[in-house]
Amino acid sequence: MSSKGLALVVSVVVLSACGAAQPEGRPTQPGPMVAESSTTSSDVELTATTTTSLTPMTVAEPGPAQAEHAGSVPSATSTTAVAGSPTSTTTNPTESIDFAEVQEALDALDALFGDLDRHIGSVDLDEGEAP
Amino acid sequence: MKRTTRAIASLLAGLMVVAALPAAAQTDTEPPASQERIEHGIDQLRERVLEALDRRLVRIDRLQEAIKDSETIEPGNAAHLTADLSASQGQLTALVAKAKSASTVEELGAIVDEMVYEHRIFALRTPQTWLVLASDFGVSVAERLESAARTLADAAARADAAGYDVSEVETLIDEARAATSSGLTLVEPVAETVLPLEPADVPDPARAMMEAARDDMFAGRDAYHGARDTLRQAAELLTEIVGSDAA
Repeated sequence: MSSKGLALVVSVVVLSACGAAQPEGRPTQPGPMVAESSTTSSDVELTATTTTSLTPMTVAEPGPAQAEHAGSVPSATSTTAVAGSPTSTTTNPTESIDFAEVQEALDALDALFGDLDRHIGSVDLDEGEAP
Repeated sequence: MKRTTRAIASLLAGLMVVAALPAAAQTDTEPPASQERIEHGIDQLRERVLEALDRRLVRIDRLQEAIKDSETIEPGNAAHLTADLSASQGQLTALVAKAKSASTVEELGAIVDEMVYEHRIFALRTPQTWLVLASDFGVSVAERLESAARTLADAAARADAAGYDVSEVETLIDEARAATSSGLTLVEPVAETVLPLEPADVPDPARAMMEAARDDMFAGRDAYHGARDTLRQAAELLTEIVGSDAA
């Protein structure tokens, strides 16, 4: 096990200990007991460590250079650690980029330009007024 | 100016009569057979006047339809154009009835005068309407360009959040926005420039103003094209940046 992995285990133990100290009935109470951070998947271990400190922070320098997993697409981990019931959701910002939507918006412009040309092309100043 | 144009109109009407009635000058001395020819000539002239009136009424219908169908024309501009066209429609329709009952060359000549110089359907109302429609449509194109730029900027922001360097993409989006703004500056004022023009403004200053307005529309369109091309470039670059990492 790597040192980071070891740190994670230690951190989780610490986190669990903190959770155990929380009064029951307030598992979702926001505030000092909830820490959120966004970072990449490659920093999951660091995120867990961060969570144990209960200080919101973002681990810097995510990105392609840090991608370690298959596909190498950097993803962000949004970790919400609630004392006693830590949960973690993972979203990838690049997955939410809708390139189809971008393409659609640009293609729609082409049609608009056709209409604009038609409008301008209709302006004939030389038609004359001969009876 | 008005007197001159009226004189030209009368001349035109006179030429039409001469063409139709070769013996018109000798009416008093001609035998009854020639009188029939004169009446036949007036009928022919009347037909031509009625055709000319009909062409204008058909054109007005077409312009009103285009205004009605437009989803982008400013309501105030639509109301202005529609009012002018409807007024001409009513007066030209009245001229149709007048032409049908006209029995002299002078009456028909006066109708031609009014039809041409009081309404200017082809020389003014038609290009004026198209320019206003084009101008308002051009404003909507700028809005769509800005919307596409926003979509792309959102996508770039997400890539940025994921750690990609999208500064070049953002620069291109800014350039596209500047080009859009430049195009809008040219296109938007066209409607308000040409809308106040009246038949009495033809040919001057209407002709020069509408020419300048049309040139602005072309220049604005070119600026929009530049904005669209730059947005496309930005989208391709963003795809390349994000896609190359996944490859």
